[in-house]
Amino acid sequence: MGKVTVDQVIADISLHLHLSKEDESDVLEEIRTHLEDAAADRPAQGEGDEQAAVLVAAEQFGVEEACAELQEVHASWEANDVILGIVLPVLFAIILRWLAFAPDGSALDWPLLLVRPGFYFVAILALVIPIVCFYRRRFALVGWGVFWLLTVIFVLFPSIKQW
Amino acid sequence: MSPRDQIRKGSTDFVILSLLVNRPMYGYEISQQLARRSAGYFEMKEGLLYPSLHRMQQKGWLSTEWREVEGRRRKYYALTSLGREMLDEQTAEWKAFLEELRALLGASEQWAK
Repeated sequence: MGKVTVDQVIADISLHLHLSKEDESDVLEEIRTHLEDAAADRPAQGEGDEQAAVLVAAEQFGVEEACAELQEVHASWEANDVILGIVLPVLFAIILRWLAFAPDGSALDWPLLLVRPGFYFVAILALVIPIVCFYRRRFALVGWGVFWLLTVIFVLFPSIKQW
Repeated sequence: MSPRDQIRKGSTDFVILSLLVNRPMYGYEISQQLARRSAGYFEMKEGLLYPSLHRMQQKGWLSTEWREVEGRRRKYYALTSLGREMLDEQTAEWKAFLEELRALLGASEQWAK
């Protein structure tokens, strides 16, 4: 390895991580501080120049092992998010169709739909439950968008009212 | 994996929780304390602390807070009440384990004599 900087080590680590931007920037910032602290401590221990200090810090950090485990820790949560992200909007759109639409399951006109309390109740639940469940709120908002899209599809296309 | 590595791996969460019992610490500080207090016995690749820390944060055993100290942003980990409960539980388990192990070692030493 030639000249090594903390930036290069961080770039190397980011190649090993495949997390959401939010998670990845959080993890990388934490690791950067660790490497900078570790490198700053080395010269005081008489281990030579800044380059060598960064190399030793990176070696002691164990980039590959740490990245593999970090990926495992965070990816399992992301998998749960994806499953919930797919299931919840569909579930709530179907519940809304059953509860807030006409009892026979046919789509009402929008003005009629808007005076039904069940409509607001389910719409709010469709936002609140994912926000509570999800590790990332962004997923909850995207799921809510999908919920509305499905709801509008159910209302606007009478041909699928028998679904 | 050597017996020492296995013990170390199995006790990482407990050791980290024990270190955080008095005050919040950031990752590098935890790794230094770990190396210093155990005279190197619990020394491991420093980066392997973070998966444990993040896992315990996800479980609600640790809370985190970013603080700016001397111009550097650091993520501090602190025990939550659930983390304290887990620490108490694990302390009891480790004590029981050590007592049983000690008894077993005593018996095998006597047998060897």
